[in-house]
Amino acid sequence: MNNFLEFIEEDIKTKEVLIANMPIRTKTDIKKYNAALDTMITTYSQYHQGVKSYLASKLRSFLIPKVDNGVAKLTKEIEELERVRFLLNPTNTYVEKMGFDVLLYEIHHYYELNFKSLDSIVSRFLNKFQVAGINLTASDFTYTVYVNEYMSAYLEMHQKQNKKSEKVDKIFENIYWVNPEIVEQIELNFRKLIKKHRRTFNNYIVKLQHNAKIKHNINNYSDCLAKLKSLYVDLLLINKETISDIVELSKSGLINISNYFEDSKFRNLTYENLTIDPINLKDSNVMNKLYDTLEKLKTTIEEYHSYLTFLPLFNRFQKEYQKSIPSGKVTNTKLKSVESKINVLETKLERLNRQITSGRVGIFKLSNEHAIKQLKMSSITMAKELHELYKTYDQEYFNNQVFSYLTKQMTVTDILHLYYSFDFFKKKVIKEVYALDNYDDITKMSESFDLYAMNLTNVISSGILVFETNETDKIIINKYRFDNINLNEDELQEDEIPVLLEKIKFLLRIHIIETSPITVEKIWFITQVNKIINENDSN
Amino acid sequence: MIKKEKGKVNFDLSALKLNELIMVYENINSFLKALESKKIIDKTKVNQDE
Repeated sequence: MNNFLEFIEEDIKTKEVLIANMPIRTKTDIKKYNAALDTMITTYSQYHQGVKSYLASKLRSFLIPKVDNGVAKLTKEIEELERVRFLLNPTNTYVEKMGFDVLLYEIHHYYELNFKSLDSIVSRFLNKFQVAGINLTASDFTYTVYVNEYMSAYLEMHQKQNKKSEKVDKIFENIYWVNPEIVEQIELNFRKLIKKHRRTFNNYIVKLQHNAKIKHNINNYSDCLAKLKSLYVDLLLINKETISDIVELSKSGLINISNYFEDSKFRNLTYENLTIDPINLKDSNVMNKLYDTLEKLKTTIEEYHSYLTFLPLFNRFQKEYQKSIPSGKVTNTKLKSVESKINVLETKLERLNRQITSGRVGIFKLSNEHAIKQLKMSSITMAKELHELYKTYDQEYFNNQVFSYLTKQMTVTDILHLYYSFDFFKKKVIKEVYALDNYDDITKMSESFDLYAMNLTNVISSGILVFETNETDKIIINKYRFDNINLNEDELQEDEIPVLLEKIKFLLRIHIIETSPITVEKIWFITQVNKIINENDSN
Repeated sequence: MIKKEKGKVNFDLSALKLNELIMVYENINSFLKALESKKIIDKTKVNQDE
């Protein structure tokens, strides 16, 4: 007998034969039988405990301490600089930089997207005014008498720092039954105030920009982009899977470590599938070149996947603006026209509100309740008209931004930047294109869009012309063909990309394992022991 | 190597390969489960207890 494994195998066989041949006819037989089993159980429980302890101590000796590769620090630096980029972005205005567009989107879709709390939106609006040094009072909320009534109660509650006020809720409910458009009117009131305090907000932004430039030692937006790009490149280099990540993936069952063994059929097939000409897996030069190419391919495919995810949005943009591609400089007169209409109507509404509040029209006192009620109804109608005008204004405002960029040579990167700069319109188009009716889904998609848009290491997106027919998949296939990588158009379909990415990651993981202090066998062992420990813990 | 001391088996697990270690554990574990399932409950005792 050479080792304990053989001893156990033989001992079990012998004991099984013994058990099978023990008589169990009488009570005494059974007693003896059970006693024999108990003896075996005691012995094997000791073995069980001994082996388990040995496995656990062996496991500990294999564990690799997680090394800080600096990703967290670099990510924090990028996040900080992204905030500076947002502030210095020359494309948008104080409305977006203050984050008013985010709140306007929320209040604009208050009913449609089932927002739970108007209170939270209003409170965030007020805070934004406050940080810029503007303390709004009830006298600022006179868009309609209803807005004034609600906001007076709201501000009173706010001053008393009451989180929840039944009085405010009651007032809202009472108003709502006569004037269901109250939320629209609050939105319009904020829009008007945002316009009114343009200068203060701009000054506030200039101050923030100045401080950010000093803090980060940058002169302008281009400086900021250059610095960020260098950080993104660094992140790309260090933010790779580590051997510790692979061990964790295996332990959690997210990868099947058995596939990583050198004699695995799956492993050899993946090498064969991803390369055009057979390669010598033992030639380190060939293999290093392959892994370098696979790293680049992974980045390309990830970017291409993001591109495909947002392709419906790019197609929508193309459809909407193709006809407007200018031959020369184009000015959007529609924006000024609608702005002027809004100003005229808002002045009229102000006059109407004064009449309602004072109970007088000029020198004439309004004779009865009915006349005041009529004026109130007119103010609601006028506010409704203004709400529609603001919708046109929004669209023209965005069109104006688009037209300043619009050329036949516009690339995906340009569109990414445009929508990244205007959150309101990004969410608007995401909602429409993907037919989303849940704000969380819209926000999730919007965040994923921003991650794609902000990434300064994007390569293919800056080469894709929006108004031209694109064959980006073929370009990628041909580019990597030169590096002996075998790709086909089916693999580059949106749904198939995760499969392709897994294949690439699989081969890259082999490289990580091979260049690490640990072997596949040890990772397999760690995984098995981990499973054993977990099973015992749950029993 | 296996040593027998006063009816007790001492064994050197370090001589086993990693996959053999897991096999040993699995064999012991399965056998223990099998032993537990093979035990015969004394029905008369159970009835008396009831």
